[in-house]
Amino acid sequence: MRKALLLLLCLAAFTCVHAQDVVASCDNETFRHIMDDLVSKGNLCYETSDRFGIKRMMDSISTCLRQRSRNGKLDKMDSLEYTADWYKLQGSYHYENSYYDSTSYMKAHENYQKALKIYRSDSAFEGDLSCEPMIHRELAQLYYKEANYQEAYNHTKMAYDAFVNAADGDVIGYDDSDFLDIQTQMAICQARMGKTTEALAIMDKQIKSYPAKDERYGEALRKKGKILMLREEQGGRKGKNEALNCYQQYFSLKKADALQHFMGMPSAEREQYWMRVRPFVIDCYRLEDADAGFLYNVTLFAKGLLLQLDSAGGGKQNIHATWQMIQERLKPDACAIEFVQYEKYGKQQMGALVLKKTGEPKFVNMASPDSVLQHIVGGRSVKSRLEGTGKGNFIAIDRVYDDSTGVFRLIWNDELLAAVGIEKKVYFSPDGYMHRIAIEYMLPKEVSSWEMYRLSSTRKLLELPPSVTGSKALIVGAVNYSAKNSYVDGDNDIMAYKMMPRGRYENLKTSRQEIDSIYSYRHHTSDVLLSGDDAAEHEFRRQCCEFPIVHISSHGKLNAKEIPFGTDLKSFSSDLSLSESVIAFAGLNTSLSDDAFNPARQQDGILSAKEISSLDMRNVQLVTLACCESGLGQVTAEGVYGIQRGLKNAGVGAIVMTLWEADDDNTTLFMKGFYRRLSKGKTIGQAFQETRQEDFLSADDDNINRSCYRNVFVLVDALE
Amino acid sequence: MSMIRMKKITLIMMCMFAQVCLAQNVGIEDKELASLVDMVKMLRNPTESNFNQVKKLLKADERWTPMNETGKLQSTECKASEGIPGFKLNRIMYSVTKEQKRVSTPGSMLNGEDSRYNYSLYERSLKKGKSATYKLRKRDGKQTFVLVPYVGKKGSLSVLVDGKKRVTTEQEDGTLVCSFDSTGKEISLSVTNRSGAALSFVIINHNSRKK
Repeated sequence: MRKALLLLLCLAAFTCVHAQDVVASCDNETFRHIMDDLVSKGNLCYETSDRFGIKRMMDSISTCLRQRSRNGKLDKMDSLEYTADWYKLQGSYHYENSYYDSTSYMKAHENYQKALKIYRSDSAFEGDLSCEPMIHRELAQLYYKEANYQEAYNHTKMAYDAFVNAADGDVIGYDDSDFLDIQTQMAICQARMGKTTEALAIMDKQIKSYPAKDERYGEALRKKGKILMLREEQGGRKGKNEALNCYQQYFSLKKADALQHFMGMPSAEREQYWMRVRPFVIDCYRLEDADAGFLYNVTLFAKGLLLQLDSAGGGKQNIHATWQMIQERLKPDACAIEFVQYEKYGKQQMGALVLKKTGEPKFVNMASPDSVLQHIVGGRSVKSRLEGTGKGNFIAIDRVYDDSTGVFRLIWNDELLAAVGIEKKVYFSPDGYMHRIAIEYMLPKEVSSWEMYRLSSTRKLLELPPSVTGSKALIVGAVNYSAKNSYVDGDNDIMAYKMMPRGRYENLKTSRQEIDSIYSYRHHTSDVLLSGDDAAEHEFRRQCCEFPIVHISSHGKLNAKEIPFGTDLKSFSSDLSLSESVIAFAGLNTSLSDDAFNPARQQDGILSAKEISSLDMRNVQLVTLACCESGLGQVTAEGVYGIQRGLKNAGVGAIVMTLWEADDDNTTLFMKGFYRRLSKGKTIGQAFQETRQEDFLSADDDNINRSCYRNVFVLVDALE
Repeated sequence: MSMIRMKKITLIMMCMFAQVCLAQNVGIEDKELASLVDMVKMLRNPTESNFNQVKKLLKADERWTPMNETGKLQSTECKASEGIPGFKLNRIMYSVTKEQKRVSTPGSMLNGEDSRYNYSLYERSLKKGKSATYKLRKRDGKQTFVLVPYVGKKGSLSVLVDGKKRVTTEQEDGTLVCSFDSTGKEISLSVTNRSGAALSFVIINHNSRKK
């Protein structure tokens, strides 16, 4: 083993040295090919918001420049050009990082300015549309994000002038896509500064230049819609109806295109497709009540795309769904709600699209996310109470969920209650903070009889409810985290291993009792129990797809520096929270404590959401996770990017998961009760609700009947 | 027909062909330069197949770069929006360099010191009777500049290099060839349109870097 490891290390060292040698000593042309390739990859990482990818490329570029310079082979123009590229990438890295770290924003500025200085220092860069003009565009984006629209406009104008010069010199056509993008950027900046007439003139000209089925025609329509909304929001002439018309045309084009092409695209292309659609989704919610039916269909469409960015199944029906189809499936006593978080007037807003058995959907304004999260309960804000971790935070959580006159009323305001009316069953799809807060447990007294069903999308109503009657189960628990880990398999999420904090995970004391109870209640001859050393990651992956029921009792972890509350529409592959959300399996301690452990060659006992999403679990109707924080992750328009997202992408039906760190004893109590009821033939929803009601809410023991214990579990996509 | 007679006819035809070639490339010794000139002249016939052929040739050849150092549009030059007939060379070059992903626009990195390229070219358009001066980065060694007017007429253009007449050859179609030794300083190229109408032309340079 030691000899093999030494050989591996030598090979790796040799490879690195050899690569550096190539860059250090090769001819100029080869060097430029290598460097141009690194820069291109860095730019692609920027386009897909992969900040770690940008960092990797930056590190490679600076190493190559250093090596070449040491060998005396780096010529002046190459040094200037690639240093500028490096600064540009560093600026892009910090721009992406500013979603996570507020100081990165200034660093992005500084680096772009350094790149600009280089481009201005030598006339060889003059006229190159990829140099100074592009930096001006990046700076314009930064200023735009800061709401400094005048500066954003100034920089866009500088880029625009360079392109005009190029068009006048017949270098590019007036219909060059970059040129048109810049004009659109200028128009949006002008609109933000109140010059909507000039802005609309630019967009009308663009609309006339394209044939009606051209993608750019659709984009110009969308931008025009945005400008019209901005005009109205600034107190100008009303433009909502005209904007609605633009958005409807755009949506019609986009949906037809998606139905034809989306399912045939590989996942990288689907992701880019979604990146192009998402600005439209963000913008059109500002229409609010202009056409709630249209917004409902847009929401269904957006979630239909998002659920299939990298998934095993779904198909066209996910994109095809409309509110009319859902209405047809609704029972008379039911309603469906799509909650949407969006930005308007520079602030985050929350709305609800309510659909009942008859009539068109209705848009309801709700309290802003900020007013909910900053609501003070017992001297502290809701947000700060929920952000705490560990069992010491249970009291804080209790206070939030017991605040029936405060938080409950903010969320379930009178307008929303009136819109839902007397319906008994409420199927809702959450957004924004609702992925962290179980609003289904915060109903005001007068509607406490509502049956609440949390869904990843109300589109789920078009599917058959998951059913597990008589099905076999894979039950995983009592994991031995210190088991030996010698299974050789390179199919690991290496990032998940790297992000896992080093430490020792204790075996869960009550897990054995929990899984033994479940196993005995069920008394199903085909059930399989994986425990102790056998509860290994590779075993789970090998078997999980064959069982309609999967139960996991283990440590769950979200290795994120912070867990954001807002809606951040990030693309699938770039969002590392899928590697940040993990479930622990046998041998975890062994792999973490071994400095020489190589996750590229051995199973590490860490099953990340990313790895889960690569499995085909369409046969799995129900997954129950007795794992801490299994419901958490980065929040997006589709839902939480964490274990839940991984499971959904794998095709799982219903999921039971936790929103905060669960108490071991009460977790066992819950799961025992849940599976006991399931084994008696109850539906998933019935078993879940009855367990909450009878084993917790009605419990005499105050130690059990606490919000922090009974509200920790949420059920997603059960339908009944 | 006897073998000897056939050989005579073949020899005569070869000589005629050679004369035609020589006539087309009078004053141009470098083969690559000559092929670039021929390629540009192909665009006098603005068919789609010619554009595609030129694009293909440029894509396959990586020894050229657009001569963007000729600088921003001057007041004596025509804008593209004026619709002056021309080679449309710049757009083809831009498209090729974008596909090659080396640079995304013409001109970056070319200057007389850039050892990557020995050939550069660019299209400009002058208004009727007007002149423009292009300041080019320093070049060292034997230089050949070829100016190809869009309208194939002798006397369409005149050029001064650093204020001096350097034209060594004028071809029948108005193509001017200037050959001289450069001493490592900036070169000033002043071009005058004498065609009687607005005129597009291409400047092609071979920077030999040899004395």
